[in-house]
Amino acid sequence: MRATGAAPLVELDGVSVDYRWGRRGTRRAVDDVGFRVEAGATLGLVGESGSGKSTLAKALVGLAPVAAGEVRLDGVVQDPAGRRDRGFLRDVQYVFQDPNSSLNPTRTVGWSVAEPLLALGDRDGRRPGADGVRARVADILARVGLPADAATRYPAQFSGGQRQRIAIARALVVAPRLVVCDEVVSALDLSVQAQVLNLLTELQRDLGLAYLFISHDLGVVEHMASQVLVLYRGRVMESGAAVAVQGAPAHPYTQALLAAAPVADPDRQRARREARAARAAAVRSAPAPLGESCPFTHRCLLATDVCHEQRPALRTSPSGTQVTCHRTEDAVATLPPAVVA
Amino acid sequence: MSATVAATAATAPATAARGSLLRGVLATWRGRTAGAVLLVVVLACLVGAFVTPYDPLAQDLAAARQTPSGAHWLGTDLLGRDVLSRLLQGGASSLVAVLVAVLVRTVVALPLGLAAGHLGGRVDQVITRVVDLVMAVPTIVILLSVLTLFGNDLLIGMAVFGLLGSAGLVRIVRGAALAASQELHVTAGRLMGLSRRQVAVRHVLSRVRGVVIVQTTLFATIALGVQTGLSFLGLGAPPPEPTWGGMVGEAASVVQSYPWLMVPTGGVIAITVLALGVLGDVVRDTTADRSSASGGRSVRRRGRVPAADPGDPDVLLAVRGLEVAFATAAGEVTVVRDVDLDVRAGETVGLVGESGSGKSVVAKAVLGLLPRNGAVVAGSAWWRGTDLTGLRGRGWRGVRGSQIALVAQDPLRALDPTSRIGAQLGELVRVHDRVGRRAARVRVVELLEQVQVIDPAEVARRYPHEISGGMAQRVAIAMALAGRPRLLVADEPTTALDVTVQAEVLDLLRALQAETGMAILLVTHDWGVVADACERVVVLYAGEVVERADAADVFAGPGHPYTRALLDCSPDQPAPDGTLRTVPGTVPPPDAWPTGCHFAARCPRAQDDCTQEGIPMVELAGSRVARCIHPLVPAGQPVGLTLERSR
Ligand SMILES: Nc1ncnc2c1ncn2[C@@H]1O[C@H](COP(=O)(O)OP(=O)(O)OP(=O)(O)O)[C@@H](O)[C@H]1O
Ligand code: SF4
Ligand code: SF4
Ligand SMILES: [Mg+2]
Repeated sequence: MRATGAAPLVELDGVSVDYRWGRRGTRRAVDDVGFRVEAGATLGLVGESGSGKSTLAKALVGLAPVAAGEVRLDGVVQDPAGRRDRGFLRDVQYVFQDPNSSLNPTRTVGWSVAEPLLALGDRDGRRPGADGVRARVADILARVGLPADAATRYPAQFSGGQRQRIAIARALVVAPRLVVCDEVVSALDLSVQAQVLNLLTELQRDLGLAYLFISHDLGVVEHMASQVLVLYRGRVMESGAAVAVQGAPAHPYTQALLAAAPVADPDRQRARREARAARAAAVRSAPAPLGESCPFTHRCLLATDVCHEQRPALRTSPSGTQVTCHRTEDAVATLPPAVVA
Repeated sequence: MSATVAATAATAPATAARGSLLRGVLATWRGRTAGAVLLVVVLACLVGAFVTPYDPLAQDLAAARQTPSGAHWLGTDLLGRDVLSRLLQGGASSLVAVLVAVLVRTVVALPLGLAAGHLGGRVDQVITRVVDLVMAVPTIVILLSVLTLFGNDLLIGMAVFGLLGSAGLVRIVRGAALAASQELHVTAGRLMGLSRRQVAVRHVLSRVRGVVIVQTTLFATIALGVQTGLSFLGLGAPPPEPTWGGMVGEAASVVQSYPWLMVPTGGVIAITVLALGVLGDVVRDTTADRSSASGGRSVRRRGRVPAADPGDPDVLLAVRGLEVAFATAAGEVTVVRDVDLDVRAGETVGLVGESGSGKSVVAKAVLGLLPRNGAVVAGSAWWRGTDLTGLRGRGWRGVRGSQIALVAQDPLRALDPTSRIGAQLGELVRVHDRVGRRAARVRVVELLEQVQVIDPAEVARRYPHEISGGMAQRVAIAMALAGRPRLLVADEPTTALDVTVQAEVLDLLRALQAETGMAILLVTHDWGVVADACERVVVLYAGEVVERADAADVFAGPGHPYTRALLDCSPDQPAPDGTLRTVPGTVPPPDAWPTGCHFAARCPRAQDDCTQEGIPMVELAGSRVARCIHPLVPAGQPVGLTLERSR
């Protein structure tokens, strides 16, 4: 079944996802988005809430049906309705944002971590015996830095950071090749967040994992990802190498996002605030556009008639990233230095 | 169970282990007593079905109406039959009847409720319709007709009663299953390739178990009552056969002349019902979250020592030696202690710390909004000559809202979902300004304009759920501004917002401050927000202030190792090898604070003397004051360029 060796681990091609809206209608939550993740690499998915980050990830793992486009694993096209075979579910695991609700509070940690292994079986399709399962669970819990007796305890007996480690252990127990990390650190404290991010980096290095790393925090994504995809209202705004997207953002939306992210440095922050104020004074009050236009027109300083009338196609920006913007050259030229300083 | 909790307390700030439900129930004396009583009743009746001291039907008119004696422990009835024997045998049939009703109800309702709640859609619609229909049916009428139809067969009657009663349980299970289905571990189950039925059984069922048990004990008492009532009315088993209901009926007819008979017959029913009720209560408490179970306790405020007013006219709010304790299941726990902080007119002070460090507790204590189980046990919060911690009830009038106002983390929770935004704001304006409706309406628009709402009249007409999160936070700020406060306490006002919206709200707060000159106490865990908005910073760690300084000094180089460590965790400042700097270990929970420095176990600079009692706040170079005896910035020395990093 496996296609040519050249196929990326995971590839989404022109994927759109619709949500039911009201009685009969639908709403497009993700509109014509594509990306690929190579084995062992990390793709960061950035965007504000409601931009479609999680929906896209759900389309990948089959939790949301695909209305258009293709989802491929090793070049093999997956069912648009969302059915995924055991092999896929073993290869692609998911870690959720909220470690409080992603673990069943009435089950021991050992039970929860063993569950995917029992449900999906091993790589050869067999189910390991009781001793094998116990050993694997103990192994993986030690691997994510939890005490040996963790398996017999309940989630409520662990802190938020430890619960997230448990959730990571549960994802890793079936030896996946890609792990979707959906805002995995946004519920955690700064010091705990750093611990969990380091753990993910270490696991990637040791196990050759690939990550689809979703976050609204650009700083976190920059640290974790080699490639970044910026979404806004379900559409791709900009994508490319993380250093390029963050160092020389070529789309007005990426620029706005960067200008808004607070940095722990009062001087840089003051400069950003001034850059922000200039924008805010210029754009106010316009309603979000509908239909075939750039979705960012109402908040964009550079918006012109063509932006309202034509949906910009994906093209290469002066900084080498892929952008959907009619005026990316002007965007790069007018970028206030404070934003990327 | 308490042993496991204590052993893991250091890592388990949240709830106690759910563990086995049975173990949890038996851990309370109420649970043990109720369980024991039920067990005795059930066992006695089981045995009594086969062996009784006397033949329950044997009459002995000579021995009629006897009070308890050695021969007849519970006396005899009108026909001289042994009451104990009759109770035991009657109990067997009564309990079987209850069991039938309970079983039928559970077996019918559980799968239907699970299916409706977990599968949703068409299945849910059909089941809900049927349930509505069944619930509209008059139970008693159906029950009586069924009994007539089946020649007073009590078991069939009780089965039908259980069937009718299942409708209510379906509803409850459906609700619980629906809630459980929205939890992420259910989604996670689907990603393991489990079928929906497997997910329902493995993940949803375990979450609805508690509520089902509670409901079942409740229903069992009702079933017992109904069964008793039917026998009392002469329905069900025919006369010589003993039943609890029939015996109560008999006792009731002679209660004037022979009152004793009522005691054992009514008593056994009362005890059983009571035990079932208590058991249901205990199960509910065991399965409920700690947050709701901590109710009722309060902290004793014996001899609270207020702190002196520093009396600095520039300082609006002066918190001194503030100590707050909570009454919890484990006893009284101090969660914040020896907190000093000043807020001057027109400035923004950042209150920084990790989750559980006590930021919100300090903010709430200042506003007199501590939950009922918490109290200020020492120290004061001076507000221009008044100790806020001494205010009660009406004393807060003219202070809370009009001098100090609060903006909470979750803006939607601050708004009443059932009333329009204009109406909510208008009500506040009328309280603060004592003006009529018309004047209030003008001021509402003014307030909304002040928080830069684009179309104030339109927004005023909307309900809270009709506006975005960012807009809701603007409205919440407008509500706080209604009383023209001099200090705004903002508890994580932007944490729930996107970065772009967060930036807008921070800009708004800055603009409002410039316009009105109000001071802001900004609770946050985000250094970026501090850098953006604050002039001064107060850092909390494990319930104590560890550092106070100007924001510029903190970012240039803090004095306390914890502040340094927390600054270094930012993902944009990785160590040279590319990893992020972390702080080893975890924050000690309030009931496990060490002697001496709370940070000692995690501190790279810790020395032996750090574990001595009472680490003082030390004045350091620049504006820094830190609770550390080996600080990163020496006392009195100017801040140089060669500040040490923590590692
Ligand atoms: N009602 C309560 N009963 C018992 N303990 C409580 C209660 N409320 C808070 N606490 C405890 O007080 C301590 C401080 O809590 P607080 O809410 O102030 O933390 P915080 O710094 O605001 O954290 P976060 O960043 O998570 O909001 C914690 O240990 C918490 O568990
Ligand atoms: S296409 Fe136009 S409106 Fe959209 S981001 Fe580019 S310049 Fe702005
Ligand atoms: S007092 Fe000691 S342990 Fe505490 S922060 Fe200072 S050096 Fe570290
Ligand atoms: Mg808080």
